[in-house]
Amino acid sequence: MTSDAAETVVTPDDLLTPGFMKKLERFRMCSRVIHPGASMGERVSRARGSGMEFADHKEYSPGDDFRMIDWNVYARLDEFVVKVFETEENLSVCVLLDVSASMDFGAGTTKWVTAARLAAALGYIALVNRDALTVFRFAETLSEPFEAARGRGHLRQMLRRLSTGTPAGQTDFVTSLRAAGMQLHRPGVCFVISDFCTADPSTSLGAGPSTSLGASRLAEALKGLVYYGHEIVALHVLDPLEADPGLEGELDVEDAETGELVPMTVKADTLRRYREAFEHRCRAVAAACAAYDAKYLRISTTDSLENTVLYRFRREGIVE
Amino acid sequence: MTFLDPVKLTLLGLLVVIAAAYLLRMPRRRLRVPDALVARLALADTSRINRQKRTLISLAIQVVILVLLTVAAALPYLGETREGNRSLIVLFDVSASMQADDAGLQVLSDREASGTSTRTRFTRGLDAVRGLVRDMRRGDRMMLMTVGRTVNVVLNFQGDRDVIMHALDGLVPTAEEANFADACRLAASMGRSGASPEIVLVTDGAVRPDDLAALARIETATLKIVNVGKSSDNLGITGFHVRRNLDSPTDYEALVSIVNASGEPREVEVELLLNGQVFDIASVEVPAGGEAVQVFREKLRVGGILEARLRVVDALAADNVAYEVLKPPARLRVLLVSDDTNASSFLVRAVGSNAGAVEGMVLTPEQYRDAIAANPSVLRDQRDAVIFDRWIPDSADELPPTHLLSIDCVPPGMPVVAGEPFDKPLIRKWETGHPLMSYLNLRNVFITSARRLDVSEPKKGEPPVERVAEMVTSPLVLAWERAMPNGGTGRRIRSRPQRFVVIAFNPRESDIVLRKELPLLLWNSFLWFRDGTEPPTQVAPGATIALDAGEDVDAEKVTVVTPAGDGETVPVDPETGVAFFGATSTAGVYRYRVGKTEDAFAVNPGGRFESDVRPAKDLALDAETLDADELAAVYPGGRELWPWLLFVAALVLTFEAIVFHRRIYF
Repeated sequence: MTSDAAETVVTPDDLLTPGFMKKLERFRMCSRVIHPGASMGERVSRARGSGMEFADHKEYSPGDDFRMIDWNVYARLDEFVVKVFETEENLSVCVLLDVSASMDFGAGTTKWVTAARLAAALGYIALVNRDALTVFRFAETLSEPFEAARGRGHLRQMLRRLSTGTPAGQTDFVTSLRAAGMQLHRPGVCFVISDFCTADPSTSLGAGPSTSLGASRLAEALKGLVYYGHEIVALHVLDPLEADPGLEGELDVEDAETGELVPMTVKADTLRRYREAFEHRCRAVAAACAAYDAKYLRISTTDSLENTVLYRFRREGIVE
Repeated sequence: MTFLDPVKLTLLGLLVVIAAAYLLRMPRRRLRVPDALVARLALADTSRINRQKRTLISLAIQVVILVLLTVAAALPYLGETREGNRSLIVLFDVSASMQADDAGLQVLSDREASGTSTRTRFTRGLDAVRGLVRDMRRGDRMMLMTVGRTVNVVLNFQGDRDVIMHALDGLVPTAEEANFADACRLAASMGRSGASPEIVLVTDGAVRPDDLAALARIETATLKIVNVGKSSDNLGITGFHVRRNLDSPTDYEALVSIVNASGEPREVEVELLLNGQVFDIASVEVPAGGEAVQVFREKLRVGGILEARLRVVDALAADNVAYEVLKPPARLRVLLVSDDTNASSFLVRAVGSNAGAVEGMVLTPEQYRDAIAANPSVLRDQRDAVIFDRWIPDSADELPPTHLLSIDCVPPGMPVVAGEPFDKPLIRKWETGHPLMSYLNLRNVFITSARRLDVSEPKKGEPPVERVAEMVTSPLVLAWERAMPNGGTGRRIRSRPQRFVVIAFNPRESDIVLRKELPLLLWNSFLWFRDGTEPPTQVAPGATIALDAGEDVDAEKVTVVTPAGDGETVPVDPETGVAFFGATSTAGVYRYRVGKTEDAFAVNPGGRFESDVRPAKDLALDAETLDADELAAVYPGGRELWPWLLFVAALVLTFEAIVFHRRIYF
């Protein structure tokens, strides 16, 4: 449901403002583990290499570069010791943006707009830090990725990609996330920005409160990413109307993705039961994320984007 | 249960419409949400089955409401079925005895003692009839008649219960005596003409069984009696009269008749009040079931409202008080026209013998003729009687509009022709029962000469001449009366008679002047002249009284103020100068005004028969007796169920509105 005043269409310029971008330039992505990068980047790798920063000495072994032998040490100790330097690599950052029909919902700013701005902010941080950024839009299937090489020169292209199109279709997490895991060349941080609504009634989200999270297909989808070594950050975009949709009287509830009609007679306890079911659903998503060591954040469409990125993400260790 | 209007049950066909409305899918409000799964989770326990139940419950409610309304429209009736419609003829007793409250009898210990029950027989009777009305069904009709001195049809056959109830609310008890004979004859005639009506007699049983004889002969009607009376003791005033002593106009005698309608002798105090002030009291012993008369002799120089009151609390309070209007003392004004004006004349002496009672005046024929010539109406309303002694005017126009006593002459206009005198007549007979002959004995009265009188036929509408005393060949004393002429107006006052007495001989030529018979004859004439000529001071309850405008020829209306203080105006008949007033159902003093003249008359309760409030033991009727209390307890609204069905339908609608539409409880 979108209200008449809802912000549903964005342009590239709407996604990031210059002031906000300036603030974002001070941050970079955090990763619990250091993933081997494909190219030189701006973050220290576990591997020792030909960087500029001295890291340690090690005994010379055949095959080492003669240029790295520390002759001063040899003069004092009469042993061949090789200087080891830190290697700086880039981080693989992947943004998976849900563009299913359910994202087109919100009283003010829709979930789709909020998610697109989040993706733009994260992408910009990755670009300015010369991380390897990949952006996927997904619904039933995964779209063609946006793969930026490095550097802010790709910003415009990224924003155009993010603002293109409108939310439509159903969500298939398993197919989409598994395909994304397979397409990504190397592990990194993977942001899943979604409302985690799915039309598949067999998923954990629709199977009722008693269904265990381990059997859920969302968990199966996350598992596909984890399998390829990705570190997952789940950003759950919500609108206040979802928790309190203003149910009253006799009505048919229409699923935004499938068009399914659920006839309801709203009674005294129906609203209470609805809120309980919604909360259970959110907890189920959080539990599925926790099962695969994924970070989980609920983000409301009414939250300030700057506050979310600059403070909440920082507090949660997503950026630094 | 039966239906008075079963055709309306066809409205049940609307059930098809309701069912069709439920089969058709009604458009519902649609709400788009990101994920309907949450809604499904919320409805996990209240599944489709509950929705179907709700639909079925709603359908059932609609069906129930339609059925209730349809059945109500068909006018269901609970109880035994009745073939045809009832026609009720209710004879409601509104006589004085219906005011009895059947309380015990006790003599007042002091004046302040009081306390009577408010539930009278009249009230019980009304409640019983209201029960009958509530028991009426559609198509039933009721005719309501009140039985007092006259029978009034309050309501002709009427089926609207509200109208009947309204008519019942307007009934009031009267002081009248029940005339059940006429009522029963009327009801019997209605019973014969109607289609098997039910005649319901609502009475306290204080009726004469003979009065109900007309009902006993009806075969086409059903007779029912609602007896609202119980056996109660009562003391009551059945008569209250005041008479004036003509010898002494200031002396009055008040006679109070008291009846004791109980099984034991009673002693009761009787108070006599004038204009509300007690001036005499007497203790009277009244035998069981009998009557006693108490005579009060008083000397009063003023008039007013005389009231007799019993100091007792009994079943019927209305008859413990009686009223009488006491006229101020007045002397009889007599004019003697005679050429024998000698003070020693027996006529002059007779007129002036009782100066306290008679105001005499003597004129010679010449003086009389001169006075009349100067002013024809000079004697109008000035003399109560005129005696013409051996001379009388030749023209009727010269006669005064008053009572006339002519001696040895005949007034013009009277159907009597004076003949020649004849000698030594013999008195053959005289009417001892006539007022003129009271205490007279004409035996052995010697008359030297008498005038022959030939009585002719009176004019049409005038009464015949009465031969009060007769000689062998001719009348000796004649009496006649006609409507009083209203002097100078050409109008006769029908309510006031002009009386004539003709004596056919000259007393001077008889030894009657030496006997008591002559003054007695004159005195009896004066009494007869006065008797019935004054306005009535009492009238029976419910009777019509003729209020005489008298010589006030300009009077067009009479204003009567009832005991309740209500003023009523009745028109004066310009022909006769009389106004007829009939609204005398209430006991008490009625004051009226004609022009500048004010007067009053009293109405006292029914009399001995109404004071005996004990119900008759055997009414000699083959009738079903209905219990008044049971009738009064007939449930309001009757046994028709439609109001209750509407009430239940309203309850169901309310239930649906609260529970279903607002979805509070399920």
